[in-house]
Amino acid sequence: MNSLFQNKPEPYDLSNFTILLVEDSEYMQSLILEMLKLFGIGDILRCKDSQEAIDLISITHARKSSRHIDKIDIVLTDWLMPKGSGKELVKWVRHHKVSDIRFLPLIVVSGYTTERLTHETRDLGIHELLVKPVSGKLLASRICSVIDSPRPFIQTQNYFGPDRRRQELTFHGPEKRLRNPHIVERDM
Amino acid sequence: MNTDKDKNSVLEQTGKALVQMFKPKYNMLKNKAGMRVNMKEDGFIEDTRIQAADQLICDLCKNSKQTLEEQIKILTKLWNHIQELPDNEKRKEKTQEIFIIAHEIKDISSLCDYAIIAHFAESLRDYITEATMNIKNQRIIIQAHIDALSTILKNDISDEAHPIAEELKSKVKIAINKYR
Repeated sequence: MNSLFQNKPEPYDLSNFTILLVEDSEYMQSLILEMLKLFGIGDILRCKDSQEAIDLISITHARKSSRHIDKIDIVLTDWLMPKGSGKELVKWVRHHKVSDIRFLPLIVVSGYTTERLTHETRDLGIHELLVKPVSGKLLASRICSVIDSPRPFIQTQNYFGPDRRRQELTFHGPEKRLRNPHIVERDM
Repeated sequence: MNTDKDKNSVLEQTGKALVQMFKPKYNMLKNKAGMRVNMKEDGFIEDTRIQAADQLICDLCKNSKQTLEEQIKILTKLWNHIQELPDNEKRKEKTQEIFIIAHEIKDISSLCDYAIIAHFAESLRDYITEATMNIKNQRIIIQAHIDALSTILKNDISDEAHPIAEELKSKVKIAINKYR
């Protein structure tokens, strides 16, 4: 039965999705590419460093306006790349003047497992962090998390990115927030 | 029509809010994945697809020893070449290549459960970022890492608790502490 008429969760059909994979290692790039194909991702764009990714996102966005090409839905990027790091890419995306680019869901894949990296990536506005070694379950969970829960984006003087608070916790105590956020609804 | 920038500046001027929250009207990605935009339940990727992806990793790892051997050969050759370079600047440039290979060795070995190779590759990768190629002592540390990687592969050791692995770890640690 078509999922439009029922509430039971169904497997995602990702054949209409376009993912940009940024990975400098040919070995890891081809592995993740094949895994994404097995997940049924329709279109996978690949590049080896952040500069190539920036060019590709820009071109894809420009061509999208002519409606001949699907927009990139998720960016999956390695963090440590010698010719243009994941950090540069994340910063470029989150500071972009075009909102379609600025709001792009970003998943960082990294072989580093430090607390510092977790904080750094979170504060730069990524959606998910996937620590290597990759597995089918881990990769699927990060992609599903981006699709399942589109977190609101927060714009402050020092931060732009998904809401860093993942839980709705009841807070008992004095109100410390100086101002309530101004809420804007948008298609994401 | 107001842009985001206009709204922000108005809000700043009135002092009402400096924090703006962009809430998704609809979950467009969920819709693109074949679900209703307002469906609360999480979707999923079919288990068979996830299992196939894991099987792909298993299949790839069957040949990983050969891949690692090739990578370590490349690393050794590169290192020998770097040592022959007369110019410090050129040595520095080439160091970046060691970093890339060590990083790749680390990725492959950790993926395929060669924990001890992953350990030394990671240690080499991290060390290389701080090494200056013109200092003899630092070259000893890099050589110690490459020797350890070659020995492990030659003896087909994958377990970190293996006596040879323990011995090599201790030797490299001594080299780092002594010559850093």
